[in-house]
Amino acid sequence: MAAMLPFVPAPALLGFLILALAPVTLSRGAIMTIGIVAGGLPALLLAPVVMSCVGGGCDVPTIVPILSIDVGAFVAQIAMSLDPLSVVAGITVALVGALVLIYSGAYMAAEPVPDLRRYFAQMNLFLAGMLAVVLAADALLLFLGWEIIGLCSFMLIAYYAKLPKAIAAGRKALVTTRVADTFLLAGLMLLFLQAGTTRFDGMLAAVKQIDAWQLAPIAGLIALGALGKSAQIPFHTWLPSAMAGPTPVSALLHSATMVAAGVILLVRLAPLFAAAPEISAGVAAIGIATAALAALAAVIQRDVKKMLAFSTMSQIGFMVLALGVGAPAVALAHFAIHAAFKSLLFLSAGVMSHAAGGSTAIAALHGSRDRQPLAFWSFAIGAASLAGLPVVTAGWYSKEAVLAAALTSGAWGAPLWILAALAAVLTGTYAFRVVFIAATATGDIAAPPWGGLATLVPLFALAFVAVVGGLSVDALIAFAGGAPHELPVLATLLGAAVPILGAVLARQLAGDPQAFAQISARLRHLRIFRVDTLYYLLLVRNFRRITKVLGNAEAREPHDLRKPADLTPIIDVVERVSDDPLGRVFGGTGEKPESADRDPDLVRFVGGDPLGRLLTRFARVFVRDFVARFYPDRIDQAWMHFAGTLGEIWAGARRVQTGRLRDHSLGIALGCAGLLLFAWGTSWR
Amino acid sequence: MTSTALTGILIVAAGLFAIGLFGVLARRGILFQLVALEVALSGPALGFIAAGAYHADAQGQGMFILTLTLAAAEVAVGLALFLRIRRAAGSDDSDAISRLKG
Repeated sequence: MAAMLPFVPAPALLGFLILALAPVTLSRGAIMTIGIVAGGLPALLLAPVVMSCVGGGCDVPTIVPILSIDVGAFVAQIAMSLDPLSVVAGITVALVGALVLIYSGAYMAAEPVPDLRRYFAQMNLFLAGMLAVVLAADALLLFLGWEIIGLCSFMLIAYYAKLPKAIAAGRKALVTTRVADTFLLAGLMLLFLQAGTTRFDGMLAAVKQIDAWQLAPIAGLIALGALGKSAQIPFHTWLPSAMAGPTPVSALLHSATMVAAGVILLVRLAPLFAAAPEISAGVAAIGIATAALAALAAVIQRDVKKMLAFSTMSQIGFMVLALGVGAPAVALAHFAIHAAFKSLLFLSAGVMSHAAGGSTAIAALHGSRDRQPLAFWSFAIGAASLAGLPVVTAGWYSKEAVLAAALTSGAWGAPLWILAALAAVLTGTYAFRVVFIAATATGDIAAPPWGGLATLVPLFALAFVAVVGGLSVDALIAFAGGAPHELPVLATLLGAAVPILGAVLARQLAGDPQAFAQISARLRHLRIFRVDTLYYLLLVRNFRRITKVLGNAEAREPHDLRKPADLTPIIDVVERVSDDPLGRVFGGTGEKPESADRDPDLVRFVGGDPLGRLLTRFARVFVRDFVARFYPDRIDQAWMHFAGTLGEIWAGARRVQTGRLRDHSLGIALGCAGLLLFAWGTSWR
Repeated sequence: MTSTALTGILIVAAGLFAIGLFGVLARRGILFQLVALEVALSGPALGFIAAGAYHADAQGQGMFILTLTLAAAEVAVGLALFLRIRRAAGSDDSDAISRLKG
């Protein structure tokens, strides 16, 4: 059964190749058929593998090698692994992907044909990349899939290419995850240097031999990379703006797959983090901080998709918390349950906002219960599962497991539990606020008829999992190799009261819009939610500034249309080459170096930012005192002279080529004679 | 076969090769250059035969067969090229086709 594994992502990849590269025009129906079939086949292929695992068939990991690259003494293997993690994550990803693609068939039906083709091609490539990530047994395949999903998320978020907002959101996602990916690559390379193999089993076996001081940076770098993909603080800023993409994209990328890739990686490398307790503590701290802050931010959102984005961050924060306290099996269980109920929420929110005239604002959802009862009730089921209503929903079981893992994690268990429980209260609040608003009656119930089998099947399937899946949580945890946590009755009761408390709060907020508006206005001004601005101030602006000063490029601040007075004039000094950017800077700064530093524009931009100011100043001094000294470059001139002589030699040498057959033959004969003479001379005894 | 006879035959083989090479280098007609190439190939072929006979080894004859096949293939390609060049360039002067000149 394990041999089937490498073929699981193949249909999706094939679908991408056909849709993206086949040089034929396809009709709308053909594109949808190819896209949906290619997206559905992985789930069907994986199902028998999963069935073979039920009952302990794959407790011992089976590695399926795909390709070996021999590089001298070292062998790089590309392989897939059949173990509890890859089975649980793989079937979750494949199922959610298939359901979302089926739903896309209805949701995207009105798009123009070329856009539709692009959409399905990218969704299929994304699915293939994600399956590669979850099934990978080696760092190479994992990183390949990792980068594919990064690229696809950029393309899919920027799907509405006419909207500048969507393009900017896609670029933000790409840049942020690229930064994190760099950390991941560095960490994986360091781990590879220490372990000498790219296979995860070999890497994890080598963890014991690595010194603690070397292990900590490795684990830290890998954790940073994974947290970047999972949109945890401080990399979280891309996720809310990523909602600029179509709703099915949000449902696939930002609930079950893309953001969960980081969690999958951390679960896969759990023994590495178990060996680096300080890094694990940091991971747990980041997880609980993200869980709490993102839940707080979700409460005050006005847009239902943004609300869901923040709730994704918050739920991933719970998973990261479980990982940090050393319970990867619990994190995996919460991942599977979360994937089901979060995509259910996204999909039913998509139906509801479609019926509400295409607006994703929460306020526009008033009266959804009358307009789209099915979508409303499935949203309510998803919200109940997200909030974790006790006993009846799947979310309760997995969240209880996370809370239990936090409580039993040692000295810091109780504070972690309290924070996590507070975050869970907020979860209940934001989840049910939307439900209560959507349940209000309104006069305007003229709903455009929309739905059909393609939307209902995914909704029913996911709603079923979101309710009944809870019974499987304990089995899931045990299957993934985790031990059940024994909890005091009090903690269990408190945990059960938490979502109900959240729902009561939500009732209050939904019933009193003015109070909510006040609270949200106050919270919006908290600096903690403005990491974006911080990034802009610290990184983006100074980067632009330095590139501008060094390259004298025309990169200007978007909202600063006034030309800086002192920097831009290009003084063409006669004996200097005018297209040399460095020469221009000397021309400018050489004339009035002091006034440039006092430039009010510059001061305004880097004022209050010692780091940026220092960098700019350093770059200026470096250019003026060091680079300028080499300006009429003697070495360069010598090289240019040398290159000039080469031209003359070439002019002479080309005469040798007469083009005559006889002369060529003579050349061949002389060359062979020379070789023979050489051979004779070297073999002389 | 004595070693004196071998030396003699090898000198003849070298002479054949030299004559062929000179023909290729000195003549301008493509057909004659092809003929000279055949002469040049017969030199090493003779050398193989002689060396095989001297060492009492059948490999020399094997190599001769191989050389013969090579020569046949070369003539087939060469004659086809000759025809094409005559049609394209209008003459059988090999110096006329010198467009590879530097």
